[in-house]
Amino acid sequence: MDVWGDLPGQEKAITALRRAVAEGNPAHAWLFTGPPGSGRSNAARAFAAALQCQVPDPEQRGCGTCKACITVLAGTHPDVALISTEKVNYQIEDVRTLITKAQDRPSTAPWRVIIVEDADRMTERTTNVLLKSIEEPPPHTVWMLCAPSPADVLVTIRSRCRSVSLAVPTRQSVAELLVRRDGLTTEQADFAARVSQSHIGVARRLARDEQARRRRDTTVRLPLRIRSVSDAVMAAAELVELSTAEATASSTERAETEASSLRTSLGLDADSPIPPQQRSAFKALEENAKRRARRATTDALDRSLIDLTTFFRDVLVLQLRSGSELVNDYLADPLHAYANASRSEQTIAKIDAIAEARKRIWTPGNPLLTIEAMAVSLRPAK
Amino acid sequence: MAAPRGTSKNAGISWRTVAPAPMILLQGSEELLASRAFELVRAALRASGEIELTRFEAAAYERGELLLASSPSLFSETKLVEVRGLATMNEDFLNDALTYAKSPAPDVTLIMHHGGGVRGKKLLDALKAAGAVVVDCQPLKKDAEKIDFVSQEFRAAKRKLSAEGARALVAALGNDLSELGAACSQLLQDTTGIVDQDVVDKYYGGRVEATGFKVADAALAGRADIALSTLRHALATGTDPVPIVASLAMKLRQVAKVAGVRKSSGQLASELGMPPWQVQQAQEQARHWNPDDLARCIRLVAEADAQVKGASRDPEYAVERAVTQISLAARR
Repeated sequence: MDVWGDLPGQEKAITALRRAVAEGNPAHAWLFTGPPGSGRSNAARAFAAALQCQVPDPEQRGCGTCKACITVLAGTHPDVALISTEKVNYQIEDVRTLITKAQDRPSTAPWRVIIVEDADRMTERTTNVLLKSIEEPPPHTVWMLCAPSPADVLVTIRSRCRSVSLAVPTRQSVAELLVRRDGLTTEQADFAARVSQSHIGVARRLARDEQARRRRDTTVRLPLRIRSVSDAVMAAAELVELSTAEATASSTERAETEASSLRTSLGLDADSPIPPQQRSAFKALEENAKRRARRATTDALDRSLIDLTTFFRDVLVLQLRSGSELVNDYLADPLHAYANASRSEQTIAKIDAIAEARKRIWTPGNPLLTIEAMAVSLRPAK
Repeated sequence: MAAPRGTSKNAGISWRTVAPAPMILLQGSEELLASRAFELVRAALRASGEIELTRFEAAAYERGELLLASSPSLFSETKLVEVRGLATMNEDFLNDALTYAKSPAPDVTLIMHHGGGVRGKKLLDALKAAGAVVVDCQPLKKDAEKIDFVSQEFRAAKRKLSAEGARALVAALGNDLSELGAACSQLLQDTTGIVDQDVVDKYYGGRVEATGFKVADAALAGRADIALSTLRHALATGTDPVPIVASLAMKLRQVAKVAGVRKSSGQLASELGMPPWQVQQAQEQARHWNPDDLARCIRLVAEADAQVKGASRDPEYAVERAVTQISLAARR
């Protein structure tokens, strides 16, 4: 089993990457683009593994069995750094440390590889810090940036990178992967691949986690319950609660663990007061936790809104009689009823309202109010 | 902790009765009272001849300055030394002032303001022991004290203020003593004769309790005139647009929750987890609304929320627009 096996439906990209490995002299910066869930960072990781692979024949690199391949894929290779952020945006300090690291010679392998996940989560100022390093890295350094689309990174970055675009994998290929790698039954895998719209990560979570499935189901059925303004406001409150409760709970728990371990390392008891000199350390910790929590809750909310969109997407498919498959096939009857009761323009307006809300939840606005404004637009027209 | 007024021996004399003395200590965080006391002392000294005035900030004091300022003058003028910000004094000032307190110079009036806190407690004690005059500049907390302040202001100017007028003035501007003082001087200059409630209302009416909730209540009841004037007062008194939009959103949410639901207020209160009076108020306001307008206004407030949090260059316009649209959408 070679390193490319976990990238369903990306044959075209894989061919290009294999060729780059075989030539033995890869470009110094790569930009992996593709819709969420298409496996951008996995593709970057597989490419890194193939570059570092210890097989002597360049055509056969990426064996998936040598030590280098295994450690890169497991994320423990000393010369491959996988950078991601748990906050809404990368902090500029984090990126500065990366640049220093990029100057180091690789210690064991032929290349030093730095994979930056979600390169779109950088503000312009942060990206500018990277420019110089991406343009002329030391001879043994390879940068790999991942972003949903080339338009999500600055044009100055884009022009310095060789681009690899990934396609949306087909439902069948995602289902096959879930069966093969995660040992799911065919029906489970097929359902998960369908409702997640081929988002590999989401599909796996839905297939494994009963709670996640139930949450999604409640979300998708929400439009069926909204009849009046009063229903809409209630549904909005429920949606926010449903999607953020788990994220909030887990991030609070993590913040508490961190604070108590900082106390231990500073030699403070659980209830002794924090000395003024050390208060800033705790303050920074809280600040970090707050940023992480915001990212986590907003991500969860965003996911729910995507799920909600699938309902109206299906309604639109029925109204336009396009004959495409329904994402929420198991809700076919209520979907038909809903589609017959409204017109396609109204459905499009509702999809727009959801898209507007998805944009707005990333701004500093009040999330509940944003969702309420969306929910009142989802009322059926008279 | 400020000592409770009138009970402690150290509370000091009122700022109105302050007179030049070798050492005067103004204690308390109310800047207006302290600056009035500084003015009174200055005026009293100026009335009796030329003075040489020196001012210090205790935080930026350099060693020896106090000695320099208090040493005898060539022209034998009276010397006045004003020191502000003792609460953040530096070590140099502390040491020099302690030395000075032991042997105050003749013909010098040293007046100092300490805003509160523990910094320089040693100096304060030393000053009191050395017989410094302590002047009380604690903030006025009770309405009665504020009314007393206002009446005294008018009495000092030999004008009359009716009891209702005093009460109305304190209700409108009582949060900030310096505003209250400014309002008094404006009324004294702009009007003639007795100042009563009508005069105060003319100048400061409607300013009373201008909170986001008052704005929201007026807007949801469809009273555009009241909503907008209250909004203007709220913004003018420094209320941020963000909490005003938040209260609009909250009120709309409450109305939306009860709108079109045919249940008693008690039943709704327990279902929604809201206090019964809130449910009743929301039901009352819901009578002004139809579902489509309500939906439109919720969208509008969401937009205003984004605008006041950075999406627009003019947050005040955004909130004003939201308030106008909501008031117009509600049926009177």
